[in-house]
Amino acid sequence: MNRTTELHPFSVPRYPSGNPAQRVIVQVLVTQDAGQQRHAQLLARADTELRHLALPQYADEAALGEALATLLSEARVGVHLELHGDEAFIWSLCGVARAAGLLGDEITLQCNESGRRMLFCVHCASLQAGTCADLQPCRQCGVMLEVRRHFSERLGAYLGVCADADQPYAQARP
Amino acid sequence: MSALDARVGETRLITPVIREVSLMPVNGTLPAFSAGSHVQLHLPNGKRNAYSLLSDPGDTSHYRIAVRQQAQSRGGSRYVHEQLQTGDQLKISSPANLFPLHSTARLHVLIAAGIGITPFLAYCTELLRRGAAFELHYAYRAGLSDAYVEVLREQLGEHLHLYESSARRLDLGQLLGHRPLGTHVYACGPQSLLDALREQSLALGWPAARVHWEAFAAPEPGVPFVVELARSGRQVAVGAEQSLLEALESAGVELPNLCRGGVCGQCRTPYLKGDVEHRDLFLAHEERASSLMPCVSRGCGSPILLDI
Ligand code: FES
Repeated sequence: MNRTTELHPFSVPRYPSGNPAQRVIVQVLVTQDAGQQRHAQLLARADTELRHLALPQYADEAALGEALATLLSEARVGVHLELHGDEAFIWSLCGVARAAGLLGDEITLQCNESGRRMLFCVHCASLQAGTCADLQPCRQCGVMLEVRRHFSERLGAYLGVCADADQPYAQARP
Repeated sequence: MSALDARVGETRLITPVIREVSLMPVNGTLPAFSAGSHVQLHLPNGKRNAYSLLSDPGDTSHYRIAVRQQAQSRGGSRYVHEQLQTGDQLKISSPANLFPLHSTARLHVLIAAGIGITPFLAYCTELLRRGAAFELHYAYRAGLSDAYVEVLREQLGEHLHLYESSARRLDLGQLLGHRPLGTHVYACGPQSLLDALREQSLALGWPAARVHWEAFAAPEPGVPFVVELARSGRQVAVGAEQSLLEALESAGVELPNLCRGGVCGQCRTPYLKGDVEHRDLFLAHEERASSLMPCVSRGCGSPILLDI
């Protein structure tokens, strides 16, 4: 085992991701809040064009996701995407960006780790926005899930596994 | 590394300086390979050089390689040009791929200069078979390194863009500008082309993960030198036309190796003291104090003591 593995398990994401050394021609910033501070910082970079999509300007996350997909479908190599928000927000948009052809090195994820995170229930295979709690019921099948420290980048979610096989529904369904 | 027996099939001179050689299995078929692979030829004169396979990756009945006569040949390319005959038997390594196609790419932009066209011949066959989107940009000197221009013109049609050196310059800035997000670029050619590509792609915001290259660096000759092996106390002399790796091999010391051109990192060898002229593209500056790549690097002063 090398040192990195000891310090940081590879099975959970590390923030910020991406490759900051990269020269950027067009910077796309997507924020869950208004993101004014980051906007101002990026605007100060002389030779980079800035595009900013902020969730408050859109009806909901789905509308924002569509706007991002459209923007990226017309984008050229040299674009870099920066996503700010809770884990559920950034990973669902990260999926949109990967589908548009962006590589991991072209995406920076900035996570506010106290917000929602995505859960994947291994029992009913549903993907859902959960909380930061270690134990929480699946919204779909009701099984009380223990959230494992294993993050699937493909799903953008943590795996949730039945916490107590003798009492799968805990108190939720006695 | 496992070596295969092969027999030299047809050889033909396709330009005054490029000879194409086909390699046939001695029995059965040859191992399958992926586009971008190379094999090492173990020549009877003790030289081993790596050459890209240019034949159809779907065809294991034979391999084809093309060898350019190098002005500074250490005996490898000269042997292929002057002595190798149809029917000769020799050992070749199993194919290895240090330059694979990226399966997630949506557009492949291939850039070849001169004999750097060879891996792309296999690429093009494969990309046509997949129906993939690609462009081949081929810079060459008429009458000298234009080996495959006619064949490619027929096969590739609109995919092909030609740059005859006296007529049209290959402009990397233009080539890399305004490319859609799924684009990957691949280049093979002299170091000057690869350096220019690295510089331009950085300036245009291309991440390294989209830029792939293969140097066809054959080791260059130098002055003779001597190394000592610390574990056995043996001395090995390296001739001017020989690489250190070749000298060790002729002395019966086998080291892992793939590219024999200072790029793959396989042959990395620790040393304890001595003056080394590092000619590889693999080791980081700090690593050079204690490691060297014997496939290309040479001694240049006080004798080298290898930690093997
Ligand atoms: S064999 Fe590849 S670096 Fe020496």
